[in-house]
Amino acid sequence: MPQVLLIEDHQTVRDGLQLALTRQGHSVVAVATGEQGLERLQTAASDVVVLDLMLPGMDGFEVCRRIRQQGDLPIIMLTARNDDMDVVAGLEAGADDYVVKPVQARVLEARIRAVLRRTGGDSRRPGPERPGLHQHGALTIDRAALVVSKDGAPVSLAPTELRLLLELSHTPGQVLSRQQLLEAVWEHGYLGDSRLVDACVQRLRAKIEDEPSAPVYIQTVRGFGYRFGPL
Amino acid sequence: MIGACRTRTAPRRRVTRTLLAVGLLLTLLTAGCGVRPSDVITGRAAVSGPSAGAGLYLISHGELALVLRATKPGPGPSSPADALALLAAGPTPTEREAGLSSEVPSDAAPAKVAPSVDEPGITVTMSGAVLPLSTVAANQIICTVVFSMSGNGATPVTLVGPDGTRPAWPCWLE
Amino acid sequence: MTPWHWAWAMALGLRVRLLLAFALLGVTTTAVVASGSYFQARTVILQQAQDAAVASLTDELSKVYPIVSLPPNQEELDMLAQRLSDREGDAVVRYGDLWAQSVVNESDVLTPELRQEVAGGRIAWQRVDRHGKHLLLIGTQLRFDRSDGTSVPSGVEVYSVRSLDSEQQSIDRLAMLAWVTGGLSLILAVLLALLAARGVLRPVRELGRAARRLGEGDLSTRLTVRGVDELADVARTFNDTAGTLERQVGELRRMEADARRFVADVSHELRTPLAAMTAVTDVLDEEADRLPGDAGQAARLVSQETQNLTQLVNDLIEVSRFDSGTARLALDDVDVAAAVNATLRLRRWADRVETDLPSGVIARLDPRRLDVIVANLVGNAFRHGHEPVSVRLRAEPDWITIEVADHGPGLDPEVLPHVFDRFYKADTARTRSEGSGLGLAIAWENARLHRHAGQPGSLVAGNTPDCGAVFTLRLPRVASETVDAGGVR
Repeated sequence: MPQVLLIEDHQTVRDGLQLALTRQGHSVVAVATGEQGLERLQTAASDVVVLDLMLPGMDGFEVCRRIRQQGDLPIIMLTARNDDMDVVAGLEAGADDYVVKPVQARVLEARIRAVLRRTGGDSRRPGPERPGLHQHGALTIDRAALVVSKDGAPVSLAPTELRLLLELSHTPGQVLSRQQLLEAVWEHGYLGDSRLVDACVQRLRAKIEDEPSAPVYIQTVRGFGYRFGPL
Repeated sequence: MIGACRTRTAPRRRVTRTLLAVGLLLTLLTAGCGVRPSDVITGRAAVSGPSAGAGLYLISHGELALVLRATKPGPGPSSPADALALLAAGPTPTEREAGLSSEVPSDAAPAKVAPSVDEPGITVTMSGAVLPLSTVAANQIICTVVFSMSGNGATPVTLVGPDGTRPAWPCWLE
Repeated sequence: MTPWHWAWAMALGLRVRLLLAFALLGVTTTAVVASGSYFQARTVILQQAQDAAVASLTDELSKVYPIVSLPPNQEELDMLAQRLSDREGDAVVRYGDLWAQSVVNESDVLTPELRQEVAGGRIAWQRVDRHGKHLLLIGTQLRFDRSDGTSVPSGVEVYSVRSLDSEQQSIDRLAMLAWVTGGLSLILAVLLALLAARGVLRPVRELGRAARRLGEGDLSTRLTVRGVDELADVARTFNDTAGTLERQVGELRRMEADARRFVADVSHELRTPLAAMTAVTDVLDEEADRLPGDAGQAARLVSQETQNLTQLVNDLIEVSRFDSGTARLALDDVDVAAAVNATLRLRRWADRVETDLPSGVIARLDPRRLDVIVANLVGNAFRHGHEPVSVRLRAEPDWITIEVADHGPGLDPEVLPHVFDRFYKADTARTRSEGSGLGLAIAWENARLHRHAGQPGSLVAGNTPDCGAVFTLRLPRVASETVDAGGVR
């Protein structure tokens, strides 16, 4: 049973989401503040965090950054519809996905499942994977063990970042559009927010590129999308 | 669009009028320039001065003409009797050459000139007859006497001769 | 306006009129003064010259006396003429038929009227023109005094003929001076007129500029009030008017902004309870079937209306973002046909819509907003028109066009101008559940948000020739972020 940590300051929203998610078969722990959430993560493991960005005290972005510092726990943001800047800032802070409030429980649930599928245990879904060790320049990608290392040193990647890298490196040199990537990695159907891809690419570049401003592995093809290499 | 037309022509007419006025002014200015010919302007009376010697009236072109003769040194007219004697003697050859003549007979002198007794004026008592004298000759005598007496042009002069007396007459020269 | 009219308007312009008036005034004044003093001076010059000449002649003649012999002969007359001649004038002496003159043929210049006047016993003079030369003729008799003060003529007449050339020169200089003075005063008048015209016209021009700026919407326009004249009064009135206008417009704008902010605030406040309610609608839906009778129906009703309310609030928030100008494009390179198909598929309309979507049309736009527009147009067609509903995509070099047409009764001409108004309902009997009433307004704003080369995208409503409404969406192939995103409606 997936462990969901829900951080939301409004009690009714918290209660409603907890109620609905629990009915979907999740084990939900709901807290009201970011501090409580971080505290909870110290003591008990969670599989996914659902995080409201508008929190009293420590705000959602800060909570997001702190969780990201400690590990690769998937994070789904709850944002308000009129806060485009919040979406971008949240994605830059390391969130994997976001939903806009008010949100129906089954939409949120679908996102949670999609994120969970990207994490280790659930990620061996049938797909384009070719198990084995692949060497791309200084980058070694173990598609079976889902481990990425650069110059022999392991690189710590969040699940979404890893999925994105696997997707791109599967067909080196081939351009993939943002919408294609959204469908493959985020499972957003067709009309996802392409900023999810852009933010994730930025984070990924920061981790694997020698010079993130002059990327070698993940290159932007203006007007089309992204491609891996050619090296 | 009658109104529009009217409003447009009104200022045009005004401008035309203004231009006309300016043109007139310029014409006036250019016309009155420089020295213009004038009518005759009269001043005071003609130049006048003293005469010397004996003055007598001869005839030139039928009119009396004053002739001066240097009879003695110094200014001032000579005596009337002398002047009448010279008149009776007739013009000199030079004077005759200049077209002067006299109708006074040579027997007119000598004469005696005196103020009239019972009336204003001058009485000339001549040695010759006075009644047959022509008007011009009488005027010669009268004017010569008046000139030498420094008399007035209006002074009546009575000529008296052995044959009678001519009525008093002034010297009408002008 | 024809060039002639323009020229005429210029000729009648305030500047030209002022210029003409000043010039005319200057010229007239100068002309009157200059000509007056000119004529005066000319008279004085001539009189002085004449008087001096007469005095000089009389003076010379008085030295001739006493005259001792008469009649004079030719030599004596010649001598006298020689004696009276000097470099300023020549003399003519006459006695009866005898003529003596210092220069040949002077006698013919003597006019009969002058000779007649001289014969009358008075000194007389006259200015004449002879062959372009200005001459002064003076004539007098020589007379003898008599003891009683009267005089008698001697028969000698003396004439003096003097040139007036030097006087002519003086007068010419005078005239020249008058002309120069006139010219200078004309220049001065023109300069003064220009100055005065500038003084008058500058405030007028400023006023015109300010009024134009005010008309263009710059309500903070004010004039600098100079002096206390009528123009300053006008400027003050203008400033007062502009001030009042600015205050009132500012007040109106503030009230409108307040109203919009109120809508935004309300929407935001509604969101939190809605978030809680929306979270549990699924629970209600699932449980409704198990609930007995009315309770189940009530649960379904609450669930359904919560979703509608959520849609309404979301739309209100979207609209308030357009109003506040905070709406931003999230641009991406999109295969338009695929995007439209995805929209239809996602809403399970794909089977009911006739599509004509050429593939390979790539455009750079906001896919979410395109989805919103297409979904609203197709949804609207289903609600108000009759099937079949068709969607057509056409590509131009710089723009793409998407037409959504239905086969319904079409749009009433009275409705047409208001189709994109917020909450506008063509059919007042229609229930709220069929849409928030903001769908087409939001679609319109979304279309306008895409700009290309300063030109916004457009959404136009109309009717097809064979009945039915048609909405034509026009978006740029390469959209750019709008500078001013606030759509004004």
